[in-house]
Amino acid sequence: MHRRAFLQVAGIGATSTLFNARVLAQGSNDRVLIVSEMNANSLDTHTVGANRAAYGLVWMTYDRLITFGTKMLPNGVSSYDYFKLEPQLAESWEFAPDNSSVTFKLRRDATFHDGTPVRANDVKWSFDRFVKVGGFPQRQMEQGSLSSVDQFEMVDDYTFRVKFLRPDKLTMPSLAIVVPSIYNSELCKKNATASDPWALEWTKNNSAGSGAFKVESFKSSEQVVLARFDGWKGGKLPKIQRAMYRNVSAAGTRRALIEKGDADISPDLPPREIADIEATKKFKLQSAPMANTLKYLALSTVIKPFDDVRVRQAIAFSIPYQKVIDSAVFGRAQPMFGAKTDTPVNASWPQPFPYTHDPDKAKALLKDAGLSSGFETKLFFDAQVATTDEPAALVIQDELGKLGIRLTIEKLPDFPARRNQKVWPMAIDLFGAWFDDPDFFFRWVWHGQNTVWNLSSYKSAEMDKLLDAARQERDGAAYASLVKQFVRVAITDVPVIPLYQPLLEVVMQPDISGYTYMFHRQVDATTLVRG
Amino acid sequence: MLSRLVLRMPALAGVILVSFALTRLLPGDPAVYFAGAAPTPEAIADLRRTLLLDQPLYAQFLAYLGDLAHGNFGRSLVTGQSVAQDLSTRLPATLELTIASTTLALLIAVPLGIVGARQKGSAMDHVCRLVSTSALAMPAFFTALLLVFLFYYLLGLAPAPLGRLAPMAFPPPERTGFMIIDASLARDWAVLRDAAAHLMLPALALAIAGIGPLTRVTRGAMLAVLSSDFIRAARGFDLPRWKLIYVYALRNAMLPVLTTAGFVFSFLISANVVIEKVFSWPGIGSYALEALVASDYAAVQGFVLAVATLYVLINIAIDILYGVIDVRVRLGD
Repeated sequence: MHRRAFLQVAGIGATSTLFNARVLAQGSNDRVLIVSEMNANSLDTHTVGANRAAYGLVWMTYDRLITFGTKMLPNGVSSYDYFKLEPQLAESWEFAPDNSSVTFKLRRDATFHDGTPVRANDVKWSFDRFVKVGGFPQRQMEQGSLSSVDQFEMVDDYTFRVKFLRPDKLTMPSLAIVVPSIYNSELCKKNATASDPWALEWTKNNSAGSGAFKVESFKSSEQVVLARFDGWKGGKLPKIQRAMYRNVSAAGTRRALIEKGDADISPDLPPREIADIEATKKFKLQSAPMANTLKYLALSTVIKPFDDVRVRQAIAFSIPYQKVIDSAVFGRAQPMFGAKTDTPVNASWPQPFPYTHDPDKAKALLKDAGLSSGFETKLFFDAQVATTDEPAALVIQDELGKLGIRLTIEKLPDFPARRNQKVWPMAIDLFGAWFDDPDFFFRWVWHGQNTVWNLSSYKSAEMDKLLDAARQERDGAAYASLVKQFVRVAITDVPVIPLYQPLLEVVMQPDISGYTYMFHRQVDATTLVRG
Repeated sequence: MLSRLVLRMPALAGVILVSFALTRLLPGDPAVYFAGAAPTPEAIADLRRTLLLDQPLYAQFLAYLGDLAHGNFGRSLVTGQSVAQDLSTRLPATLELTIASTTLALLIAVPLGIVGARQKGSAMDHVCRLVSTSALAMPAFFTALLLVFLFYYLLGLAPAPLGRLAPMAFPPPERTGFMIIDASLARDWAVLRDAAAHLMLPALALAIAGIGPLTRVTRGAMLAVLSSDFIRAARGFDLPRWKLIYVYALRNAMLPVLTTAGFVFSFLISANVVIEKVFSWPGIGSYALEALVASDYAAVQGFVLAVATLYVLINIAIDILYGVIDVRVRLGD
């Protein structure tokens, strides 16, 4: 290239950089740029295939009847409080004397983004919608016994009743998650077609809510710009006026953007980058254990030799838990091993299992099972999370090798699309449940209904009985006793070995405050403050 | 042109069949991937019905052909949008980047190759070889990160690697999808500057992958031509050196360079995947990768078909260029 041409090109680059830096800095007190690996692929969680980022988006653009309160975690990070339900579009609610229904009184001042008042007919339409559209919304709400349109009744313009199918402690919290958002029914109906009566095609790319933020622009999976809705009644008006969510796939790029000050928040940097950034002490780090979430090693109870409980226990005793945590996530996790007794002392979840790294016990158990000379097997994990799971797999491979167990490691790029195949002898996986009740988590992973998350194909009559009973039970002491019993069964049968409880670590510029950890694990711009 | 296109139709038909078959051979199940946060067996069954995955394969294929005939590429589950729309917004981004980088690669590689050929065995020749070999040896992902680290992080010369424009900038009205062209058409010089600045680093990172083969082929071809009879004769006529090399020799050496440039262009489209990741470039590479991981059939098929069509077009374009450059090809037709 000619020298002059080169200088010209370089000159263009230099001026434009100055220009860029200024664009962001202008009036930056009321805007934030959030960069993450995943961006919303839909503006509506009711649409097929809506991803986790879309849950976080709908949380901000729509309101629910009720919402979760907040609490402080021991480390001073603010978090949602699953056990504290607060009003949002409903200003109050009342249970029927016989506990057969709950009646909500709606706020009279709330409007949708287009100015239409929020009324009970919108609530009725929205609730009917999640039942009728099928797929994820319907199945999710079924978990809380909300499965029939006959349950939802509009009493008058500002009164709405939900009839209970059965006593179910998940029903009320179900109304605070993202699925039962309240849609602007008139606006949606205008955009419905004969083949699409619930206007899903339209809501996928258009927003029809009353939430804290309006959608200013949306490029699926790429970027979303939100603008504050000044007429918001569903909570305290946000300080942030514009929030931009941008997809940046490469972790190295996300880190560079944060360190240069071009991006404000990154919620999903790998633990290694987090450790480095924390060491610089220049940025704010907000860590919270992911609620009701575990990283675990699943052993298939239908593949030899793991059908033998002694072999499963031997594996549980042969894992160097601390070493796994150190190499996989640089020590940044809640340990889930080394409980003092075999019997759970309380009904909390997740709670540590009593296993520790004890090769002698492992050897004895293997000998009992007639496998003292070891065996060959395979360990699978998800290539998408290789930064954490590959080191963990290598540590496990190394340790099991000492017992004569020869492990082949298989890294699958399409792991999540193959969970239902249940052909993996050993697999590292992560499961997070939306509801904090322990039995809800257990139902997905340990129940004989054998969902895709039950990678072990575990089935035990005793476990199923306890879980079914716990689902109905609402009394505190009886419920706690059931929890202790089924955790005990999970410890003894050990089809799933907890490795650790991961942390959600969000890095942000030092002038940002007000971050609150949310159950959907996305950054909620509603509470953020700059400066 | 038309006959060339017709000749290549069977290839495209084959691509349609093979891409359909290959996606169905993927071991993953999209219904499991997309069942959401409550993947009960019923939820997965619901989704299979919605996606027509409960139909026999031949019925799925016929439905796919029927859709294609109507210009409907299906719907991507990853982005939630129609594949045709996804491709039409993302393909120009990839093409803009690939064209810029191929041009850049040619601008660097051809002079290097000529210098190497003219001064064969000299120190200069070795330097050229070193440059081309090391460019070839560096993985694109590494070069890209290195360039970001150097020009963005350390020197602050390049803009933040956040796609095609600054985050809060307003894109020009879309006419061609090529940011540079659209900005020029809109006479929005600020956006043009911004777009050019954002294009520079990823184009360079990608170009480095293409410099190696292009330099080598240029050097080889030039060596062959420079030692041929007609050049010796031209030397005998005492033609000016620059005319000899840049007009007569280079033109004759262009044929293999052009072929390689076609290969390099095609190769760079696939090398785009990693570059797009590092620079958050909204192209089809990152799109295809995500679709593959999720077993998103429609998106993968649409991507394969689009790239195959692109390859066919590149081939035709190169065929035509052959004719322009080489008289023998023209007469042979």
